[in-house]
Amino acid sequence: MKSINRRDFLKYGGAGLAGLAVAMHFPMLTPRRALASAGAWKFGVMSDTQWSSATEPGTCAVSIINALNAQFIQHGCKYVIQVGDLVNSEGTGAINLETRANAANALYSAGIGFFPLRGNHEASATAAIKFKTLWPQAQGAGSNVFGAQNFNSPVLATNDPNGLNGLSYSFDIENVRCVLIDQFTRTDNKNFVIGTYSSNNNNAVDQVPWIDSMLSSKPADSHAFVFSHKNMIGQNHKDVLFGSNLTANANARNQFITSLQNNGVRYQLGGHDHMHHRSMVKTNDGSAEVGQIICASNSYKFYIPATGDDGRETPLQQELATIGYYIFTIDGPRVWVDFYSSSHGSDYGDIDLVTPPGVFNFYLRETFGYSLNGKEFQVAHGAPYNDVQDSFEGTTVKILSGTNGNTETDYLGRNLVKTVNTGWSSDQPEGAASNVVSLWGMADNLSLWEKPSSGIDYSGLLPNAAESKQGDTYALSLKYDPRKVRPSQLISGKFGMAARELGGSWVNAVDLNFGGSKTFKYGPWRSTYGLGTYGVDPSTSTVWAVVNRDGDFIAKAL
Amino acid sequence: MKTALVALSLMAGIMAVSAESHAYIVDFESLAHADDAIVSHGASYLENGYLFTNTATEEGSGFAPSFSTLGSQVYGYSGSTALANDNYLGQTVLARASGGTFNLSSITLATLYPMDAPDNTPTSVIFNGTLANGATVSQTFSVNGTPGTQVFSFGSDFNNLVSAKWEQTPYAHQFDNVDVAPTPIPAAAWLLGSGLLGLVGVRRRTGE
Repeated sequence: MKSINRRDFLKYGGAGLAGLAVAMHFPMLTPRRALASAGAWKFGVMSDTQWSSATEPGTCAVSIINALNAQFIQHGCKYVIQVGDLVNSEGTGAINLETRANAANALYSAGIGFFPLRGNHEASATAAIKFKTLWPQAQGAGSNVFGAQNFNSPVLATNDPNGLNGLSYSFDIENVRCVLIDQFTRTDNKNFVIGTYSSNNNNAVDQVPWIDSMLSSKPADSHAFVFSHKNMIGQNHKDVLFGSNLTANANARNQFITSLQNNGVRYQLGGHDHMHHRSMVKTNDGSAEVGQIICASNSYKFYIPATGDDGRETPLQQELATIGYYIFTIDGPRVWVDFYSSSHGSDYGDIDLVTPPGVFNFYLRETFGYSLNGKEFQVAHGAPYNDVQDSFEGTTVKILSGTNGNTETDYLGRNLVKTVNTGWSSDQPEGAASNVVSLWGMADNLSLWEKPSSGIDYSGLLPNAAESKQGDTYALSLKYDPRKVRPSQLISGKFGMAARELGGSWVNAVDLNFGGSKTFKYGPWRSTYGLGTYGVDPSTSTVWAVVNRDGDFIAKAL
Repeated sequence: MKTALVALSLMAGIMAVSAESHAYIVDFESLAHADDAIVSHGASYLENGYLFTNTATEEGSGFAPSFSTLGSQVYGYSGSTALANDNYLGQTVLARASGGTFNLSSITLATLYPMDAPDNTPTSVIFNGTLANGATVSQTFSVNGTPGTQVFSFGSDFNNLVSAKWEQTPYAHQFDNVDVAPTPIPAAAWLLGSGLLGLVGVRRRTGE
């Protein structure tokens, strides 16, 4: 187990590089994740950029946008999606949206696409019309499409059937389909009417068939991600994607969640709540479930969660009061999502910024992911990991031991559950005797929030470090093809379980552990073996290692 | 003169029996290396007319068949140089290079990597012999997973072999001190042959 409490580490640690960067006032670009294969590629996601004070132009957080643009360029993204609330106030004729549009020019100049959504801060029909002129790429038009294709929008059964063209839209890049849902007042200044109730709270309801058709028509071996401004289950806000409260329009919402699950969608992303919050959200009857990502603030504003969950949500991770963004790395069937965040530039906690941060220091706070050819396991506090088992083309991975020793909760005191995902690649490096298995979700839960009323009160600029990737100690085994190993290799400790470093090279898996003692054993794993022990069992053709982090693993020459 | 020819033939027969029936212990010491390396020696090894062949194929593995030896500083070195089939489930075939038959008396076996309890469970190594008459024989030895060597004796049914073969085990083993001897030709056959040779000589001289 860790020798230092993570909260204490956050509280007392952190002079280091962050302090140096702040003192010297230089922007810090986060290191790029090495692409797992030549075909891998990236896109970025950002959230609400409204700004209230006159320190930023057009009620738009241009300073933050500029900082994020630099990050997206640094990471080599193909495009960036923003989930609404582009400005704080539309202005006359929605003029302020032009400020947001101009702030995307740095991306365009770098060959990076930008695909936004509206939020409730640009909810009018005027803004809808303006949106279409500023971002024609949402209809597949103009010079900023950057390779996106197959654009599609809902056709409405109203007097304005094309009113959602380029507001709600779907497009494809590589093996990803993005479906963006606009839920605000349409160009004809109308909303979807249910009975006599006309409100933009209903505007996702009549789009569910179109969403389902977009998801069900994607190629079977492709990914789909669904974006909206409001969330399936809000944290501070209780107005959500399907209505003014969690229980509104339950049928449409359940159909939506079911469609996402049936079509392999793993993440629905939203903004609105200005916090990093991940959770699993179920239908009313629990028959379908999908992951929800509420994106961290890119705004002057930060929210605190409020009670009112209706029991359909399983919280996974939470970080409040930081400025963050997301990098999706797509490598065939596998997806990595890296969440980076920076301090808002003032003492940690909820705040309404008047001036933008002078310096941004973005740190990798968590990495999660999934694979189309893998499985997902939810592991609650105190639960064992040994349900985690998966196979792919002759390679079997198993977690043999370990228990979720995490005790983190979200702000509301709900236990954070781990979602352990597996995924596979048959792209074997030299000396490999198995397929590559990717394992996500073993790190301790991300939980950064304060509640001064309960005595949890941090000070300083947080985050001030990358979140540790350390998790519980567990034994991992991987079956290999014994024909691809010489018996003499097995006895030397020079064949075993390897793990991929962030830079992409393969090393002995236990070399990446946090602590432990590196020890080779020839034979089966034993429950008495401690962290750092690794070995090979020729009788079962398995390599195994006692580790305390996740990542990519393979059986190969070491 | 006739008597001398018969005597010579008889002596030649007796001498031949003596040389061919010489027992030999294949000890692989020509491959010794006093280092911490594991050295590959290719798919075959010949010592004093006895040929060891690794019949594994590269199909599905990419590995050519090969025998290996442990240097004297490698953990698992058994105290003298021993050979290990270095292919997964690779078959080792022992035969005389000349194609003759031989007797296999004993062999020394050791695990390739000694282990502590409870992982040092014995491994079974199955030897299959093919006799000159086409019949097959089999014998199984149980090799400890602990340090040290074990000498295993074959039954008399492992006489008159054309070949003997055995498979590398998942918990690999190494072999050493293979006690072999050509199958002796029965003395009566030698006497009969020598006599016939002598008679042929006499007949020829008489004919002259």
